[in-house]
Amino acid sequence: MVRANKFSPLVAALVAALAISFPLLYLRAPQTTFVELPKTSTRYLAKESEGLLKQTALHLSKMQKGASVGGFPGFEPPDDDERYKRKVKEGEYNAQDVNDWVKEINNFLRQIIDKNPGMTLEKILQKQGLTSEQVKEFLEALRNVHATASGMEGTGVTSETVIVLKSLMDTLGVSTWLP
Amino acid sequence: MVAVESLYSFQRTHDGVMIHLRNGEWTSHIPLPKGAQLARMGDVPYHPYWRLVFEPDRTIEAIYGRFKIPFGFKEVIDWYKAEMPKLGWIESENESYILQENSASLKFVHPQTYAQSTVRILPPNDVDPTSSVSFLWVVKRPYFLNVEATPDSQLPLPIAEEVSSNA
Repeated sequence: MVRANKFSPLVAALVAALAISFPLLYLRAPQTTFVELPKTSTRYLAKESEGLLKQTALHLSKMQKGASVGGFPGFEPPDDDERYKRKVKEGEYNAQDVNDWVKEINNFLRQIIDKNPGMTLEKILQKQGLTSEQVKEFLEALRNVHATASGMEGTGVTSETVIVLKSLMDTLGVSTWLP
Repeated sequence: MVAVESLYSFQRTHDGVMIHLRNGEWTSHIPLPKGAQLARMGDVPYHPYWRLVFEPDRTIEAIYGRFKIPFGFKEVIDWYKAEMPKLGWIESENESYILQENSASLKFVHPQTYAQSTVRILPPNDVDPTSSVSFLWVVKRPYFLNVEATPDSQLPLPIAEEVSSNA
């Protein structure tokens, strides 16, 4: 105990020095730490973009007979749900389905815009690594969904759903009524 | 002059007017093969529509329809590649795409009317033995506030530069 008391000013000074320098070191750390970019074709996109594009494609696929859209996996309805299966695979969905699915698509497009401000969807898809044909397919599927929903505006699909989709497509540089 | 039984039913939309085509009606601008039937949406057929979209500086006229065609994927593609030119359409091959057995979209322009059209084809699958085909026909015309005072002969033509960029 006596020995500890003898060194206590030195210990106290050391602790004080650490207390002062630690926050400085801590605050400097983010400026000096090197963060490696992901080594994929998506490295210039926000990291959640791939998942959002995949979800968008999945919902577009529901209105394209479950076919793959832009190389992303198509929507596969559960085998034991015959009604749902026919709805998707035969394209016999109703206006309420269109309204629900387009609202989901709007939700994903909004997040894609938020995470990649200023970029067109075409550019985003290119950076995601899609081929030129896959980019065309994705954009065409979106344009086709807009045309389908427009034909149901006021009869199961709300004007708001169509307006929001058009506005998001405008922001993403996708023309609604052909280029 | 021929009296018509009734006028077309139409609906005001957020950006213009939508006119519902009657049963069995389709535009003569885009051919339909024998056996084509209206696609169904739930329990009702999806009737083609004719839509006028009013924008500040232009009016867009669009016709859209969805059909089931009892041909295979490649047959539908070949049929439209052969039949559309007979009506004066020229395919914009740079804009068209065919993704093997997944989907195809054929784009055409019409040099006389300045119209553009898309024929989008989805192949048969394990549940549906028909090809699903949707059509979008569009003409975009410039609009100016003084257009009503202009004689017909001096009205602006549809937007030619957009067509020429695709042709």
